[in-house]
Amino acid sequence: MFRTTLANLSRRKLRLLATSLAVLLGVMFTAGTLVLTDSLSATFDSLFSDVYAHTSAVVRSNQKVNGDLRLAAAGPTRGTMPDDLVAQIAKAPGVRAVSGNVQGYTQIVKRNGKALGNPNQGPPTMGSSWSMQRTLSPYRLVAGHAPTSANEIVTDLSSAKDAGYRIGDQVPLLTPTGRITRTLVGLTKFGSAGAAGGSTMVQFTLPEAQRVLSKRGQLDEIWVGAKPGVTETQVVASIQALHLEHTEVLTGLAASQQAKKAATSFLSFFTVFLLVFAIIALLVGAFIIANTFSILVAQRTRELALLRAIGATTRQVLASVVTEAAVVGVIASTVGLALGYFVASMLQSILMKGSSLGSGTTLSVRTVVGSYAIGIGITVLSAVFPARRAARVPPVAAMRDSAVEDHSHGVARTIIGAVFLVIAAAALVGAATTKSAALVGLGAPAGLIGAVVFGPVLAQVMARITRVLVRRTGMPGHLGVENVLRNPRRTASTASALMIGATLVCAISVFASSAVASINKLVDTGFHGDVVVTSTGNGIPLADVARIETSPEVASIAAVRYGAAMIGGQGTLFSASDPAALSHLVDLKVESGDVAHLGPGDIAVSATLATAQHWAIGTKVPAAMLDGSHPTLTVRAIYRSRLVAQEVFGSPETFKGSLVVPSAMIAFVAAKPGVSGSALAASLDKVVRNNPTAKVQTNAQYKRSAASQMDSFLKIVYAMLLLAVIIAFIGIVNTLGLSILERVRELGLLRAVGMTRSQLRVTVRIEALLIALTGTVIGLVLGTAIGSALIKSFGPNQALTGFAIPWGRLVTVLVAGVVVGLAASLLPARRAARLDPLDALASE
Amino acid sequence: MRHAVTRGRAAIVCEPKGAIVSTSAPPPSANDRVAASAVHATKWYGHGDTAVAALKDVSVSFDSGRFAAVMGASGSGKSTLMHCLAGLDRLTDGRIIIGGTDLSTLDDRALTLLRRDRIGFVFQAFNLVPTLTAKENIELPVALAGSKVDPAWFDEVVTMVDLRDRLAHRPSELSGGQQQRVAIARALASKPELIFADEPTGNLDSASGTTVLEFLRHAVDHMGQTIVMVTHDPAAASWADRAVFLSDGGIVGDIADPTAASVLERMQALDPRMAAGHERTRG
Repeated sequence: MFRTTLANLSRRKLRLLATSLAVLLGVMFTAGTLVLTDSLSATFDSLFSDVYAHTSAVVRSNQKVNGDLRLAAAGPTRGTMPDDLVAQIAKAPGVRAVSGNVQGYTQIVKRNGKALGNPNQGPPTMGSSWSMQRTLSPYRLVAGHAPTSANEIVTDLSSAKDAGYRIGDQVPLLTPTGRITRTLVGLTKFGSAGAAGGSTMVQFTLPEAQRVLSKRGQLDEIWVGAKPGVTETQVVASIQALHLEHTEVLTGLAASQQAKKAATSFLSFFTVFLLVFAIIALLVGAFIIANTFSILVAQRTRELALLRAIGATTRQVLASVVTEAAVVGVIASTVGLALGYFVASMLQSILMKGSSLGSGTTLSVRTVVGSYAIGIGITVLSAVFPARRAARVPPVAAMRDSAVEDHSHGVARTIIGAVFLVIAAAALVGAATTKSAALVGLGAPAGLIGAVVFGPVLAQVMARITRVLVRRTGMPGHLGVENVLRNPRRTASTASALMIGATLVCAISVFASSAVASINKLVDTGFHGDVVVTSTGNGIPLADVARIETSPEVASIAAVRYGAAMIGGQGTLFSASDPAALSHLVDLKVESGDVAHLGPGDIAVSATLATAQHWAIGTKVPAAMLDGSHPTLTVRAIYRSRLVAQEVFGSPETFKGSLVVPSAMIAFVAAKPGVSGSALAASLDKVVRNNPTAKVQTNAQYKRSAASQMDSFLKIVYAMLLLAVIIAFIGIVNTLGLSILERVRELGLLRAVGMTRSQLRVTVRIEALLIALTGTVIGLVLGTAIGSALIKSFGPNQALTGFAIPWGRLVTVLVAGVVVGLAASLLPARRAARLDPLDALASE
Repeated sequence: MRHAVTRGRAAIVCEPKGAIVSTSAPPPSANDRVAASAVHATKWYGHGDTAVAALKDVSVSFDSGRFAAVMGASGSGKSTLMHCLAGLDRLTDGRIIIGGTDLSTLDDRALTLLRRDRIGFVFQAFNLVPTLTAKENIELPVALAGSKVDPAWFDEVVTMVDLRDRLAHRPSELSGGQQQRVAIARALASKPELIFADEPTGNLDSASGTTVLEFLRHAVDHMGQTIVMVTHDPAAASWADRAVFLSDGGIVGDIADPTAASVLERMQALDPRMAAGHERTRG
């Protein structure tokens, strides 16, 4: 029996190639993701072991803001310590060396005047103090000397190279306190590698770093080296015995493990993001595999029946088909794994550019086992149902004449599908009306399952509608539509692959266009100024803000700073600005109270937070700042618009204990009467010219750049979904090819009675087009419904208040569906047209 | 049972040995009564040493308005002759002329259009497109040409083959005999110059087969159609006006107004193998 199976495989090489391709692409994506994240995680491992390799103990502030923040991936936001602790710690028993350090944002301006790197979209661009305790620092000099005066800096080797500077050059730097120029006196390497994971590092003397990073007299971390013979635990205990206020002490090992954990949690987010697309690809692949096997089994009905007639048991037939699937799975998984490894190592070398870290690509047992399990598992599972059908073929079927035609789609299946669709519709409508995003989580999968299960009926409906439309175009089109109708189940499962892709694309497009519409609406109705200043770096230094404020064309400015604090016992993102200026320039959609007259200790809170915490006007809220202060804040206003103001808003005075960075993230500027927005923008451009990361935009430009940022995000997502579309494409080619093989005699007859080759091509094309359109249209409807329900479910308290159906994009999706269909028909149509009518008529 | 009217002699006289002399040699256009003719038709399959001759220098003409049967055992070349006459296959040498058109000068598209517009087909089995209704199958060649069947003619044809209440059915809902009748109606629908029937009764029980043959006969007698039917069944051949016998790729006999008995007798006389072959297939 096994030999028969192998013989089958080798005879159907071409047909199975397409099936293998579907599995292969899915496995490739999965394996690539796993290899890449394993390799990156290995890189991080070595990175963080390097950071604290020579450190016995780490002392840091115990004032931190935890919680579900944007910043959570980088670990909690922590306060600083006074730098006189260094002297105290140095006296503790067992301590050999102590080094106090500060760290913050510093970005190198390249020779061409542009900033090096982009901390908002890539690895961090950092500045720190150069540790004079050589044994404690992970950085080592490879050229020049250490910074000895305020005017001197060292940078990592690859940053200097990328920016185009050599020792002795004057290097312009962007820092939280403004633009400065320093002399490059040395080049460093991090640990065993060039740079820490693609980040850039500029190091100053400690006093200069404290000044430039706006941490005068403060330290972020104190590294301690133990005397010989003293263990890490002993030295930690000895420092803890000093009972230093607002500090915590941990061993070097614990510190590196915590840093690793934070990085890994970020990495796992990245892994999950990629794996989602891998799963989508595999899911789509599963449809293709199942479809191919059911067609192959249908075509081999007579052969299988013959096997049964000459004595093969049901089990043997089942085993034969499953074995065939397993062999396909093994081959496809092997190739997929190899390709995935290759792609991951390429991506890794791009990501790790300029760093010798993680030069090895990690192939873990988990990746190998996982890839094979998924590849073989999906293939075999997809083949089991067709195999069971195959095993049930009665021996008498061998004597029957023609291929099995299956018009049925099962009453049970139809009912189950309809039930799922009804649940989906109810959940999505419910989500939109009751403002419950969780219901979308029920509606979306129910809709997808429903569309797949109910697919045959939908395919029939689509075909019937099309039949009316193509009636006028003549017999070839009519035949194409009839071919789609002859096996709605096959049509539906072929279309399902494309349907899943289209659904996701449309849902995401609706979401994105609504997000853009929200921003547009916000800018149009909420921004009362003329110009918005933002930064691609670490914000606009307050010095620059002051220079904008004093420009002659400026009537008023509201510079908004962000930070995190524990407010009401919860880590919370807050915004701080001059209350009068902000309420004048930005409409926060105040529900109650007065934002303009917030004094020190007063806050305004978002309606969402107020509802969740049961706060009202006048409520006193306990807070904890990063500097260890514990002010009590009073709620004075409640607002709805969170995009600018975040959860909590107050004056900079109110939040001074947590406003670490002296930069504003965004500034709203109003022009004096008679000055146009674009004139103001042009003049402010000159004011901030020395900061290449600053962006001065009129409200209209700001809207456009927000839309284009969304577009670049969408491009990434579309690129990921492209894989699913490619697999769907392969699926259509495969199904059409197999269907044509099945209908060779019929095609011969058609050719004999006078169908021309081009007419035959039209027939195949219409069939492909209809399959593709069925998938695309269902996906369009479902995706738009899911996207709309999601947006509508957010309600008025959320940042997303706009709603826009991206008609242009939806039409593009439809056109793309048509193109996929037409492209998929090329090969099968050519094959069908090439058939010799006489040979075809004579074939079995 | 038999509706055949005695007609004039066939245009071809052949000598018993199989050497054919055509009395109405080409150019066939000179003779309006000739619907199709093969001139020194030779067909080889394969190349070199393994080449097999399916047709060896066959010349034969079929008159308009007549029902001719081409008889022969399997491998005699009768199907090859029909396929070449119908523009489904090409000769290695010689010419096929349909109503004045030399098929060897036509490319694939022109041949296809010729089959569609000027020739009707009835095959032994698998005659119909399973996704189309009986009506759509009947209209198929005309629809492929982008035109409509003349309603009066359609009525006449459908009435003739007695399918009026079956028009909306798919082939899978029709009996074998009904399917063959749909095929006959299709062949007639485009009013072709010539209908080729390839063992049209081969897959039918004798009652259905007789009905099919009645319709073919009727189409010739009352609709002026020309039919060339390939068969190995003497009973089927007896419905024709003429029976042409093929063996080993050559014509070995040609009789007018055949009867089952005269055909069988001729078969035995010409080639015992052929008769024996007939016995086998019938048995």
